[in-house]
Amino acid sequence: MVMELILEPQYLMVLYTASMAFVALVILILYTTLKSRYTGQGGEASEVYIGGESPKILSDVTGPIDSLYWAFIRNVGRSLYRYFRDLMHTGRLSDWAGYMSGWYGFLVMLALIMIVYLMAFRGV
Amino acid sequence: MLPQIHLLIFSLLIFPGLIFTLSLGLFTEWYIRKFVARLQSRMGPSYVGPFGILQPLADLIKLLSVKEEIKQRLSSLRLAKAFAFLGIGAAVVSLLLLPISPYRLIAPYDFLIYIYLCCIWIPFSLIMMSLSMPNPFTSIGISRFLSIFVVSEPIHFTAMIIPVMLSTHLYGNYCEAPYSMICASRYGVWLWTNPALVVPMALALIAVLVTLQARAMFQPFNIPEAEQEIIAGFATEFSGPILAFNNLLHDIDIAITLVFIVYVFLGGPYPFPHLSVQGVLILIVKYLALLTLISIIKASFGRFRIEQGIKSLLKYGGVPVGIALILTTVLLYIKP
Repeated sequence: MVMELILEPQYLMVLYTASMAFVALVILILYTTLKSRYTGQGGEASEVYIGGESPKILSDVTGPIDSLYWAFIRNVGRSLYRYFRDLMHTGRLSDWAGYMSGWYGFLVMLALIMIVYLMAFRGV
Repeated sequence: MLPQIHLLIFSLLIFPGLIFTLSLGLFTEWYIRKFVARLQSRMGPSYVGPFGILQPLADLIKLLSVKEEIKQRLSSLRLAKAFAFLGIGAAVVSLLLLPISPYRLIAPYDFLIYIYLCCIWIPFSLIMMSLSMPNPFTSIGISRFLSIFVVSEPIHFTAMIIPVMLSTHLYGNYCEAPYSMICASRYGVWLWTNPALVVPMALALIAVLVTLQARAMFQPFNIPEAEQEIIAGFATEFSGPILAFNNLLHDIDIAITLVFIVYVFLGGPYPFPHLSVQGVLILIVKYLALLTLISIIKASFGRFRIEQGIKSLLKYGGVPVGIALILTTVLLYIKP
């Protein structure tokens, strides 16, 4: 015997959530009914297990905020710096001039595009 | 009011519901433990039941009925248990999306409900269980879990949507509901017969198996519970019944993900019908083949570091699934 029910997606979502809660409830009832009366909560470890360290390390478990800056500089910033240094400082003046004028040209192009864009859509 | 409510309750609680899923999860745990142990020249579970097959059940009963709960001052045991029950509930009911269930609840686009139940509720339950019992090692475990999760889950459901998309577009006339898991389960296997679709299907299958390894937190992706390194990671504070429920949720998660892969990619009992002996046997063979594959990967690798794990996920999961998705989109554009 097979039953196939095709429903609206939003109704199905509610139905699945309700079914999930129903199964969870059944597990809870089974667990509460069948759990042993002889076991309980152990009292020997009321403190957090921190591998034998002093509890004060819990206050700085996430580490200082500055680490985020230095992690970025070490992982990304340094390689970026080397990349640009090698690109510009080849020892030839023409490379430096080409690099600088290339960027300047890019900025001029960007400015021109923005001006044309703003003029074209000013009245819209 | 839903029709045949007794069949729905049977499906939720017996087959393929709670009892079946629980048994399948425990069997899956036993198989992985035994197979990996034999590959590593160890005995594996041996004492309880034939070939030690009842060892996971014995472990579960021991943790539930003999071991006591350790409660430290910051932990909330009730909250942890509530999320464990909800996570197991989500895993159990998700099987009603597949033709394995006698009571099938389906809808157009119910692929999203698969994501909701299996890719959101289960990891969310694990995270909340762990956060209910806070600890520095737990925090590290959870941060690692989340780092893996944000990479592996999108790859997983992108890989799963490829057969869903293709079966809807190519066999849409036969489908009861578009973009549904049941449509992909019935017609997904036919996609392998089309030479143009073999490549995207194979790439998606590779990606989904890689992400399964990460979801299951097996080597080389056992980073969130890295033993000896961060004690037990997100599971450091679990003990007694909560550890039992955590293990159970973990086993059931692997089992149902494998069942979904067997159905969506390999056609379930195809070429035989469901209610036949050959169909059941072929279903078992396909399930065991995938289980053996993930066990071999588990036994063959050591643990990656977190960045190695993420890079490997992107390389062996993200890149194949990206290519598969582009190919699928192009194919559907050519032949809508």
